[in-house]
Amino acid sequence: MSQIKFSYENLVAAFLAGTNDAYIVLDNKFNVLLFNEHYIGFHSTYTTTTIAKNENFIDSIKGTTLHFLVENIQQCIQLNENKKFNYKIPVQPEKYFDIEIHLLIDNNKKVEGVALGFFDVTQRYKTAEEIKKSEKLFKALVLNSTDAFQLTNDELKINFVSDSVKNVLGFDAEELVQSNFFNLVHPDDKMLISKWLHWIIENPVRVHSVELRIKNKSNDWIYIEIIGSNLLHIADVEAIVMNYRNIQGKKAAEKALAMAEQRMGLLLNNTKESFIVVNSRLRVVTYNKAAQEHSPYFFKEELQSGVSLLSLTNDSDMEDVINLFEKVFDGNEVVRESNFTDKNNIQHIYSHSFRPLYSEDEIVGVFITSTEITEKKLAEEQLKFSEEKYKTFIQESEDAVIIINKKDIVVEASPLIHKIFGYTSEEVIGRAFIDFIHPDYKEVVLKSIHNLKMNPYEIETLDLLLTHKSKENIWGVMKARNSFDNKLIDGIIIWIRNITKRKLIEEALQLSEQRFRYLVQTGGDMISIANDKGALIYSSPTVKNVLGNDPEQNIGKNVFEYIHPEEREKLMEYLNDLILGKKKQIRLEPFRYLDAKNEYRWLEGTVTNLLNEPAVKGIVVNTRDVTENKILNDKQNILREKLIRNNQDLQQFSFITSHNLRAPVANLLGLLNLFNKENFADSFNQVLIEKFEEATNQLNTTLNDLIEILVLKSEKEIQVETINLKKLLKQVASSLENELQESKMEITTDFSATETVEYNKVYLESIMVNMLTNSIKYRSNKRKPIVHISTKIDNEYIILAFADNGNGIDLERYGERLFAMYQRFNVEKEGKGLGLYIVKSQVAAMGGKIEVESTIDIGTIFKIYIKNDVQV
Amino acid sequence: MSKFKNILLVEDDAITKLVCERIIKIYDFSENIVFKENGKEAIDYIQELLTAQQPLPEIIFLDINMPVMNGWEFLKEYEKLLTQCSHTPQIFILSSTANPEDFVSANSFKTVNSVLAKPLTKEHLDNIGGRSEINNK
Repeated sequence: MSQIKFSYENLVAAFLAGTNDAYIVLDNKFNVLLFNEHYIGFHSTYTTTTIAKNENFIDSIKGTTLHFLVENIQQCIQLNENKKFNYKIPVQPEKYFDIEIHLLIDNNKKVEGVALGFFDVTQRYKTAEEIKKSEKLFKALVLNSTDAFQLTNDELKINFVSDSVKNVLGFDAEELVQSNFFNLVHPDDKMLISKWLHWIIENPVRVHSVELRIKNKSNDWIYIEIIGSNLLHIADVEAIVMNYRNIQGKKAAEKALAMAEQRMGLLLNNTKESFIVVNSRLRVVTYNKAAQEHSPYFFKEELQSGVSLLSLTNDSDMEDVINLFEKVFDGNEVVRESNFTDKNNIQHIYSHSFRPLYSEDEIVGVFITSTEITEKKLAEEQLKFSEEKYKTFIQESEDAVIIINKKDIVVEASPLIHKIFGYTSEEVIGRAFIDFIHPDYKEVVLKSIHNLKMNPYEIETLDLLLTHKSKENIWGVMKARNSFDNKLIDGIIIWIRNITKRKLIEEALQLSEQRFRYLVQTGGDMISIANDKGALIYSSPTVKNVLGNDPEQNIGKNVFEYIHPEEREKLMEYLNDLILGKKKQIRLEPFRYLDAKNEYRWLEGTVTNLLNEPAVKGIVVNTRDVTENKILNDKQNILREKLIRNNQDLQQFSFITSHNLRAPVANLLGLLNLFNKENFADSFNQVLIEKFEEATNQLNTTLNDLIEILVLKSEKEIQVETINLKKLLKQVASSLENELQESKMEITTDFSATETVEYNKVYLESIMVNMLTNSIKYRSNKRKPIVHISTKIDNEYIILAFADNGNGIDLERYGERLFAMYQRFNVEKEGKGLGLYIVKSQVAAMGGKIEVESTIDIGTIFKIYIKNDVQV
Repeated sequence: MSKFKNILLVEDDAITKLVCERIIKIYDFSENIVFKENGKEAIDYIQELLTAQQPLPEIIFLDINMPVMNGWEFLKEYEKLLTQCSHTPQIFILSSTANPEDFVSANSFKTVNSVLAKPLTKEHLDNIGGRSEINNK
């Protein structure tokens, strides 16, 4: 078995077996190396042979439906290039496949093998065809603005009607929308419209007409003719499309033909296009002037109504003509071309179209149009009446026409060229046609033109990208025809149409089929293969999108050098487990990986041991970037922890408050139990009453404290202002004048870092009072008490520190409870045990924190952290 | 005769002390009541008794929320001293707590008999077993 280097087809075959596409990989002698399940299905559908590894693929498909592959593969190898083409399998089940032949090239540019991919695109082709059909009809109908145009549901409820309905029925469009068209129809004609509706429902997409009476705005019954089609199943339309107009005053007899005549008369007045209408006996019913003057088909005799067409036909052509009309009366449309040399020996080529004319369900006649397609001046008109367009009866064209000479230089361009390319005809004429083609398509267009020159009777049609004057790319379809044999043209006629919109739809369809390519090449998932030491031997192109590294340059680098040290050990363990065979596949929790910018990205994924898989021979690491998720997750975790903490705080608060309310109540109850109710004069009752007062006051104080804390906790909007610390301190010091003097407390300050903070003034005042009061209360009597107040900037915080030289606090013992509610640590000092609790609550409400450092008999430092950028 | 000879009340609240003292006297629950303001004072007292080889009180009523050393800290210290004594007092926590964690904590001390809700009542005293039941916990 040959050694195959890594290419993404290998990877697909090896570990994207989940794809719906068929794959097979051959070595350079066409021996089968590997294939997926889908290939087996594909192979057995179109051949009677079986497929097995190491067998010769060419031998196995020789003489089968798949034989066409042989030539294609050989061609690829000969030309040393990959090939992608569409192929319609000509046997049942008839399917379209996009086929990719991909050469596997080794480092020495030698062909090591071939990968073949088969992607079923039948659905796409069919859908695209349908869209193309309906789009045309839709446009044609809308743009024919003299008629009313409307969209209804399958019960004729009007969803949309064009403004032109006013001309036909006198109603404003708004008056009709949401109403049922059926209600407007004359009672005697309701059967007619039901039949018509039934017909178009049964025959989707096909156009069908009906004439009936309808009530207009002035309550008159008028005759209208409706042409419509069922496009309910066409995406983007999903409606019955109707086009109708006033035909009041027309004879009721021979409606269909008369209508056809009238319609054609309208459409084809002043045109050089000839038309003839014949009835079911092939007698001419009507014709236009052009037919008399130009139609070569009936050149021999003067045209007139009632003349049999067969009498105008050469005997030698008779059989052919009869066959032709039989086809038309079967409901088919037939297009023919004829050559004709006139009296002056000038050759003309005509295109004739034969279309059935329907009245109700019956074909009552044939509509024949003939166009001279030789004269280049008529090229535009010819387009307007191109065969495709006849299907809608309505004259509308978006095709531009270009004629190029032998050197592929544009010699003629229709004005519509401007609509497609943005260039005027003058700007295009004289330049090489190829200049207007997107670089990716130049080659194929040149090939196609070359082919036309070799094969004069072929018509080349291809989809291609065009370059608009604005440099924008537009999708077009190009149809080209060799007309060198016509002296008037002496060139190739090229019709071009803008199909960007359709292409976009097609591309959307293609997306689903390309999902595996998307995965490997353009998606967010990265696929890397490392050896058993962690050195990279392959990186998918997506690495570039996620990490910014060039996949090629990654080869040989060891992944562990890029993994964050904190996760490295764990991942090395994983690798070891894989190599030892403890596990085949391991899920990777998010880990950090250095990207090209030297920043860590969070990746997660799976790692699989495919060391024993011949096509891979490595550890496959499948990862994707979850940095955004990870950051979001971390944020959520922090939030959750905060919520849990808040909840715990609240619970704690409720326990403490209930305890503190119950304590004085318990005292009152205890006292009440002791009260001597039999003998009020009992001397102890006096004592109890004093104690009652005391206990009641205790209860009152507790309630007031709790209310204070509750208010603090429930305050939602806290006023923030710029506070000058020096000023505030002065104010606080004066309110504590007595205590400061009595204790001989000295206050020193250092506000050099910042003298102002953004804070709530009441809070900061309360904090200062509490801090100073504590320092005074717990001063040391061994030395002159000093408290030093300072500020410091620490990243996002301003630290306001109160450092005293007092007794200090045994933090090891009291640390946990220091800021809790109702905690007192000194018997000698009075206090409710609320001060530090309130300070902590206020600091927290401002988004900060409080820290304490203390040494017994040296002093205490309280640090208030104030958010530098306060947002409350 | 009083139900008990010596009891210890560890409590910092004056009214609670008054209520307890009075009710103990009225119902002749104990001959002597020793009052201690907080856990530290109580530990010091027990230490003294042990050192002097005097009997420990038969009942201890213990508040939890006290300055300097609270009820829990007292119990930790007290249990360290236990190896040195021949018989142990019945300890009742006397509290107005509503925190279920406090009941869990109380249970974790093998020396604690039960938690009594303040105020101390006749019913509480009636439910506490006599001298003969000491150590029957």
